[in-house]
Amino acid sequence: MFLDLLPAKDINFDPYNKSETTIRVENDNKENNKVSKIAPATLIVAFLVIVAVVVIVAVTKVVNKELRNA
Amino acid sequence: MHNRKETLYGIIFFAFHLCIEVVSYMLLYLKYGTYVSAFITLIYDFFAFVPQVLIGEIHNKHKTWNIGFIGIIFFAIAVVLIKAENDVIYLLTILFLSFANAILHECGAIAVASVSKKNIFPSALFVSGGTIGIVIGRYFAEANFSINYLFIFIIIMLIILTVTDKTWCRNDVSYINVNIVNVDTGKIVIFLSAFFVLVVRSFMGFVLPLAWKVSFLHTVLLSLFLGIGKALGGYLCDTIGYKKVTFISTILCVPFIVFGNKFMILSLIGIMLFSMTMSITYAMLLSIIKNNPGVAFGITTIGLFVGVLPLLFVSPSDSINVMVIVILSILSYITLIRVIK
Repeated sequence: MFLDLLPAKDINFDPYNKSETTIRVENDNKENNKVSKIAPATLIVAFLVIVAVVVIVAVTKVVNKELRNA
Repeated sequence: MHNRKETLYGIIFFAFHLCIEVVSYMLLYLKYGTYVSAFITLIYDFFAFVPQVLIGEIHNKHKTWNIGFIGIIFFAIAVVLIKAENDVIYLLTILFLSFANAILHECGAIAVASVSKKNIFPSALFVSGGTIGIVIGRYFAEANFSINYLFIFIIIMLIILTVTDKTWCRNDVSYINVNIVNVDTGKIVIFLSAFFVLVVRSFMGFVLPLAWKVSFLHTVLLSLFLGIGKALGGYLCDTIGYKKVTFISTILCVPFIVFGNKFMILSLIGIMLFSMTMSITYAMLLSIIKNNPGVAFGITTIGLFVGVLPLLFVSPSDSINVMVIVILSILSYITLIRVIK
């Protein structure tokens, strides 16, 4: 129970003889880190792509209108 | 031929454009030093260059709005946020920087077009300020100048916007009226011709063989001659005519550029002649998009963005560059000479 609450790096263990709990805590930390790093980046790229598409469509409309009016 | 007010506006907005680029490029290069990642460059270039058409259209619908103040606020926000270590905030800062850049470029282009009646020289002067600003901004970043200095440039821009406000933020404003193209050719053909040349020239600007450019002083000289060429191109278009400048800037520049790879003076002359095309393509667009210089200017910046795109992914070798320069120069000449009167 107590080991579950500790981060893996704080546990004093022999690296060649890890306990099952230690390995599980390490893996959990790796997973958590992966999720917290990837999610915002993906969201930002998706947001930028959406804004870029909206800008391109709007620019095309304006240029088309100006060329027809001219 | 050029009246005092339009030349004065050209000079004032030369300084305005210089300030825009100093702020933009110092902030852009501050985090990365001499190299900015392709991803950041792509985001910055897209949001600084492409939305300018939309800003021009917004101003055309609400002529009394001085949208430049929004650009100033965005710049100030970017200066404050750039200190943050967080990557998400950094990206947000780049977005503020890009939009500020886009808005203020449009203000400069519209303001100059509102005082000039027939001459393209004031607009060319305005554009030439940017090349000098870019090199100053990069130097400030590389020399680790305090970013607080940027507020001086922001205040200069604010003063220029406030002082010139009455001239270009009016409902009854009239814009430059140039007519340099054969309208019989068709507006779509003229538009595509101008756009093609803009893309090609933008691309060529980045693949010029410059073996002599090995120090920062060389970069300064290069930017200086690019700036002089842009301004001189506008002056010559007004005085000797667009057709002659087309020949000078597309064909005459080629031997100087090709043989100037290792001879700085030859190369600088070639680059100066090469950069004269800007006035021609802008005037072509002004000829078919009357009374909306913001949109015409915005199209030129989209052309610049599209021309840079391939270089974010590939870097052609020097021997290929020479062939590409010769072929694209001839194509540019043929394209322009067919539509210009």
